Amino acid sequence: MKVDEDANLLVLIIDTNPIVWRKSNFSLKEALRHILVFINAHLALKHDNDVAIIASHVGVSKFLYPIPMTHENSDKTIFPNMYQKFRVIDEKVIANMSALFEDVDTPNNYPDKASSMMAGALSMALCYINRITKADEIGHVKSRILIISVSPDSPYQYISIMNCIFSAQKLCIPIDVCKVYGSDTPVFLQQASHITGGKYLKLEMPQGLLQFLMIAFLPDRYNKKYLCLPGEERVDFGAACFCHKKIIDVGYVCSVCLSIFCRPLDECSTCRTRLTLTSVRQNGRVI
Amino acid sequence: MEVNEQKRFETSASYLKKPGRLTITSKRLYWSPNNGEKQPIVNILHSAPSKFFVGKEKVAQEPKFKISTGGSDYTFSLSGWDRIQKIQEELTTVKGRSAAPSPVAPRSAAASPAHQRSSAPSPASGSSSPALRNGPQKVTNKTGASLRNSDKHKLCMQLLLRDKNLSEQHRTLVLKERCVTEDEFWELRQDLLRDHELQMKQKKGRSSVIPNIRPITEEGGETKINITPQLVQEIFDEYPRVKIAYEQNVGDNKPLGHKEFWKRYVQSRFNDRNRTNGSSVVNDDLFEKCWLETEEDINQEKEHRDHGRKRIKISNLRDLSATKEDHMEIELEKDITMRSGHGKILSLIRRSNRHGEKILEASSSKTRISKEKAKQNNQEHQNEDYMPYITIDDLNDEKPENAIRLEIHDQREYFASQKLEQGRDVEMTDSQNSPIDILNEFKTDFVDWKPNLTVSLISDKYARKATKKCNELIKTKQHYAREAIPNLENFPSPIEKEVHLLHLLGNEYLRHFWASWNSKDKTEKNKKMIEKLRGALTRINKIKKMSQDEEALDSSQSSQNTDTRVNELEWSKAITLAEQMLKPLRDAIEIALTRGRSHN
Repeated sequence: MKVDEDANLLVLIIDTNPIVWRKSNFSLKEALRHILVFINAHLALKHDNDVAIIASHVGVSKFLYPIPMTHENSDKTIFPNMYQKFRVIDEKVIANMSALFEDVDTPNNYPDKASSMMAGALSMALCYINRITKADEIGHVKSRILIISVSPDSPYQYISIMNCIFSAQKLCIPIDVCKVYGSDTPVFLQQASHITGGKYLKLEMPQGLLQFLMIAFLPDRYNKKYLCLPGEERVDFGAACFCHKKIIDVGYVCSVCLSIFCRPLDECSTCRTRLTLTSVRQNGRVI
Repeated sequence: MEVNEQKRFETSASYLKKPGRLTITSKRLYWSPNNGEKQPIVNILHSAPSKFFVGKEKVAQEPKFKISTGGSDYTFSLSGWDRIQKIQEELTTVKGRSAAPSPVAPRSAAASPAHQRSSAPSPASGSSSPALRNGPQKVTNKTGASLRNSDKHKLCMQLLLRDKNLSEQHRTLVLKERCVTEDEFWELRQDLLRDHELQMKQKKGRSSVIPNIRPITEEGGETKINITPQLVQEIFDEYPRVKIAYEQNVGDNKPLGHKEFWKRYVQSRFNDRNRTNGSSVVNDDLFEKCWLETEEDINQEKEHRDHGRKRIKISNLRDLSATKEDHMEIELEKDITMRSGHGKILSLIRRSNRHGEKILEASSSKTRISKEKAKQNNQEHQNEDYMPYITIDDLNDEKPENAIRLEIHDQREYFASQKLEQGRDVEMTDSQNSPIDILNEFKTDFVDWKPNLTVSLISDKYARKATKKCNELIKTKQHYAREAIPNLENFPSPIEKEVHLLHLLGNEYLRHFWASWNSKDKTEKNKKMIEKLRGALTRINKIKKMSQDEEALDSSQSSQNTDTRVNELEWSKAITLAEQMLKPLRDAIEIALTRGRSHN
């Protein structure tokens, strides 16, 4: 298949947790300006390129673009100096972002304000990609996901995130992660990029966000094969236990359904098989 | 009581729900009820073959044991599990002493490997293990003691023979260097022993290879054919006609000898059916007959299995709604390989099918059961069950559904996206702003926000820094991918051996150290391990000082060494490489030593 015929779909997931953005010394507005330029660059590479943007907020995740047209107000003025597609997308994103922040009550009532709804955003992205791929009869659309993350992953979302990651792996959709602010742990996004063949980049200087995005995340799937891109190679394979959602390094795994527990159980809570430990040593004695 | 009889053990026990007294003497075990009868009701001599069964402590409700001799079982209930232990011990000692070679009572599961060893897994290279195993073994309950020593020793030997790496380790650690004792070595490898034991216990079924005589071409052009008794047995199993021919023609008063029979067999076309070289084939009447008869057998077999045309069961119920279409014969013509009665050419596929079916039936118990049932059904004239045909479902009462209630007490946790913990909110809020404030602030900020993308977004300084950082990342990645892999082609062998040895030693010591770390009864061992770890550490440090000349002097193969001498530069490079290789081991030993020191 010729490269010329490929259309690239970039699905961008932006983590918009206001509390964490406030903590970082880089404002969300500034970051959004960088991101918009990056989106325009992606669209400019090829005529067929397309983009979808999802905001992962506190307790909710929403599409910023594309959203089915509402007949409220679509600015009909045409700016002759600007590429129409850029303008449309930029405006929509800005408008929907403001609409997102309008609603104060839902995030406020959400108990866990430390992290964002990453699992939801990933699921929405995968569903959208699936729809586009099915609708595309010729089979030219190559999609990928880029996550711009600031907040730590919630261990409570471990199972959902892992399921999304495995689906992405099955569909051959690389997940790239750009960590603007925040520590690495928990490491689910690192594992996501590792398994799906994407890149994980942690920024020391958020002010250079645009430059990092352009170098590391602009090349599409075809070109990545021929370029050597920066990214972290070492992955920490931690997991969250299914019973208490705490991050563990060493645990017990059900041999039937592979669910992870932090302490030995008599019966697996997911598949209800009776479990017996045959060769486990505790304090030197065999159980 | 006889003259020489001594009472060894006595306890109260109940038999058949009657209280009484159980006594073990040097010659017999007897029980007499409490109501004062002098004659013991149960009297078992130690010399008589008897088996001893104990209920499992956790499973059974009360302490019981059972002795079975000569067809009759006696079950006794005792007051405590410790009594049973004592009885066991007494019985073993007494039986061990008794002259009569009775099968020793508590047969632990370790005895079974002895059976299986003779038919250890052999690769299917023509000689196959004998057909069905010696019959189902009676597994007695484990009497609580672990494997007996001699059986354990046998297992160890077998394991060492099978696993090359393990025997290498064993040789180095236990025999040559004398770092750990034999017992310690096996103590840490009990999983291996257990796995091996389980593997040995597995019953092997019938071999699936079609018995085929393969000639071995020796030097000089002669072909030699090995006919082992196992092969003979298999041929007889597969082709019963050959067996009959053998019995008829080979023997004392019969014409053919054993060797001649097999010679003719090999040369006959019976054997060479599937080979197309017609040159060495001789027409042999005996085996032609065998062949024809085998064919007939097979064809008959098929008919019997399909119940022929004579045994179609005719139902007594008439279907009044049947139309013409129900009576049209729609048959699929049988595949060319499955048609019977086509003469001498029994196709290879059919033969393989038949062979495979035989083997599966031999090993599967289900078909045996269904065959028995089918036989029963044919023998009895079972009355057809009419009820399902005449009952109408709507007229029956509704039965309550046998729904099983899924206890979902954990499912909410499984799907939970959050667990409500009150404390977590506090972390995320700044000291100044509460979350609602932040949210409101963002809301006001974003109203009427129109970013200007036409001005420069990123200053020169940050852009350069970002590029530099990316380049550094790429560089390290390339470095690791290409250049950091050391070239081990000319690595001198004495250094390599020393490194390998140190790894083996160090890992073994570390394993023993951590295994005896927290247990109370192994503090001695722990201290010993600390000493040994220190020794290993000094030895690692000594590697720097290894020089080529010393090695040449020490080793007895000095002539060989002169050939493989490397120049000094390469030697020192190799030494640094060796130090790098040993670094993780050294770190681990240092961690262990610091922990040991702090513990004490």
